[in-house]
Amino acid sequence: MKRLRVWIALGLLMLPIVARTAWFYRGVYQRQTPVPTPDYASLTMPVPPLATAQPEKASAPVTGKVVALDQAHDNLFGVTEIEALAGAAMGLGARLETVTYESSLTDTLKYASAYMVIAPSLSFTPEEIQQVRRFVERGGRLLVLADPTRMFFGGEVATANSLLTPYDLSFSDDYLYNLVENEGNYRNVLLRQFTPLSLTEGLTTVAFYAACSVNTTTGTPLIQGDERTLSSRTDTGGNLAAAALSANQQVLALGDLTFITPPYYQVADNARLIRRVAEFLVSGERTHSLADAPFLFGRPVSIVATKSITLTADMAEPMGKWQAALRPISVTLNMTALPAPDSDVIVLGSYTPSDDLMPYVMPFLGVSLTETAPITGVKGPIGASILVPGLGKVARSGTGLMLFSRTEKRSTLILLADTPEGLSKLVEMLATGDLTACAVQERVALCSVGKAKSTSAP
Amino acid sequence: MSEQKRPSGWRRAGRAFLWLAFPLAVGVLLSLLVPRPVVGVIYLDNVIYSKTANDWIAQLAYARAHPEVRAVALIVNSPGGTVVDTEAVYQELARLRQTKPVVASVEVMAASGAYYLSVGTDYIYAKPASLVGNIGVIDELPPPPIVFENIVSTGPYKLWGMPADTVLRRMEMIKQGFYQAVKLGRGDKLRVGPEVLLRGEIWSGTEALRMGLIDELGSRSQAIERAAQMARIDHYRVADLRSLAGLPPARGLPLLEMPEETIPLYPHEPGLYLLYVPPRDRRLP
Repeated sequence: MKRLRVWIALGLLMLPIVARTAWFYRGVYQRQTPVPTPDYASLTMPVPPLATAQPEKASAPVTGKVVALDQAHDNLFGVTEIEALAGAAMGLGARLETVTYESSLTDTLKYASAYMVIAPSLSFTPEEIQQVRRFVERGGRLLVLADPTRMFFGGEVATANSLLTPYDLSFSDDYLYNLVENEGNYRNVLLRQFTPLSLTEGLTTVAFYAACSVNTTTGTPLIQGDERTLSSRTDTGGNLAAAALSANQQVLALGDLTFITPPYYQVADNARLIRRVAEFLVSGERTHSLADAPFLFGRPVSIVATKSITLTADMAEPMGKWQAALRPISVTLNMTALPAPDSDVIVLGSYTPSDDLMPYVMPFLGVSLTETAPITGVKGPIGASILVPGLGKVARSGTGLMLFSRTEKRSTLILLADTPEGLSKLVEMLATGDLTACAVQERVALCSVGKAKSTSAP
Repeated sequence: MSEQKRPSGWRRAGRAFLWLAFPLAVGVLLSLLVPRPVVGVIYLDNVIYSKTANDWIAQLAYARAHPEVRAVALIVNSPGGTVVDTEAVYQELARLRQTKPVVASVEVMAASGAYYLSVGTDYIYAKPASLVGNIGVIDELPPPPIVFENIVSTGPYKLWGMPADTVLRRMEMIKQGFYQAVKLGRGDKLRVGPEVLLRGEIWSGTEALRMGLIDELGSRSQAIERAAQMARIDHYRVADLRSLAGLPPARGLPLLEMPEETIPLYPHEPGLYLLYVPPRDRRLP
């Protein structure tokens, strides 16, 4: 009985405790699985793919090639950033020349073999665009680089595109990215699709560090991303190009600048691509016209004075000027009796036909040095004339004639005037590149070199 | 004589009190020692930086140390903050969750570091138009190594901590940690892969639900109820852990409490701060 009472008492003691516990607590919280947290210790920093170790074949060095570098359009880069590309071009024998605010694009493009424009932020004028078009038409190479990270500071792809649109190339106002496989960051894309051309020879993987996509329909997309490489503009992808070549293979658009800069040029095959770009810059073959004076030649020139003219001391000064002007592009002028092999030639003569002059004049169909009947000018008869195609009958007195031809074998420039003084003036005009006193066509220029002598009617 | 020995009514009543009422009364008194369970509420309503992180860690520590706090509800409204401070709070959360459930309720925004903390809870609620996600890291590259005439140091990176390229790659490593936290936190519920998650995008609560970034659309009270349900408690009390932990009330407006001297180097561009590595982290004396 007493034991029962104890149990009842204990029960009553526990009752409120149990009741309160039951009121608040329906059970005990027990975690089924441990709380998962990241294994921070196993995280590693991504490392860049190593550069290809295969040695490069030595290329034959070029001479006299000039790569013009645009610095006249508030270009958003420093020259030190492109040391790798400049070094590669110079290693191939080319010379880098900057086109600054002061210097004239027209003058530089007369002798440059390539024109390189990087991240321009100041618009090109219609005249400049025309000059660049003419430059490309005559065999010049054009390289345009854009970089989305530089546009942030005011550059626009439209500025770079103004040079590219004539060749059906354009940069998009975007950047490429790959979230799945990249070079340390989503915007650093690894590109492995290459169109087999000399520009992509030996490339396996290149890394671009924020690159604009390049659009073309008639040109060749050179370097493309895979389907996981997307454009920031549309968040879609699939074969987006980061570099493209125009249909005439003379204009190259590269969507990234950073891959040229240190230390990124050492990643993957970037150094090899830089070398290919340098080879592209120096491998263009310019065809010159008289408008390119004084830079009409790309190799040594033989000056041949025909029997029809007697050289005077007056000729020495303009000839010296011309030599000086050609020195930066490593072209020399040499007086010889006959043209040296593997050289271009300048033929000096008068309108009087001679047997050593005519073989040079003959290829210019329609040019006739045979004296025709005197023609009459405004102030009366001005003597004998010659026939020049496109210009017709031209008075010999007071005029000079430039005939320029280019064949696979050599370039030939024939300078004709009635007097040695007139010939000196022609050379002077060519040496200074000032042809304002001339009516210039592609291959023929008729220049005023003095007053025409009036002759009395017979 | 035998009748005289029988206890009187009073005596019987006294005995009955002794055996019935007294134990009951004592039991009632003892039952008061059984604490009323508490669902602690932590307001994660600011940028995550050293001061706010310290406050939240103190509240989490209080919850862990006090048995009456049976569950915690994290009321999230933050654009994220610095990496180290976010990781510090995340690790404290993980410790607390070993013993007590934690449920998050996203109010306006759980962006970046705030979402990092949200995936460190057992269940996530959000409003249909809440902003959720923004998974990723922001950093600022140091300048190239330079030397000064009048400032000398003992190594090329003493001034800036590391080369720019290393900063970039370290940021990628931090991002991988963030991504792992999301994967582990969401587990099988996650319905999108890294190619979507790591875009850094921020989604509405509705989209986040579809993608498995949250568990349910719901209110703060639902989050509290869910926490209580997980902790298997009833008739609980809801208490602000800040006051329970004896912390002073938060000064200033939420999201604006950023003393200039504490975090002066946040990016000033419009947008979200994300999980940010402040440059000062790299310039330890």
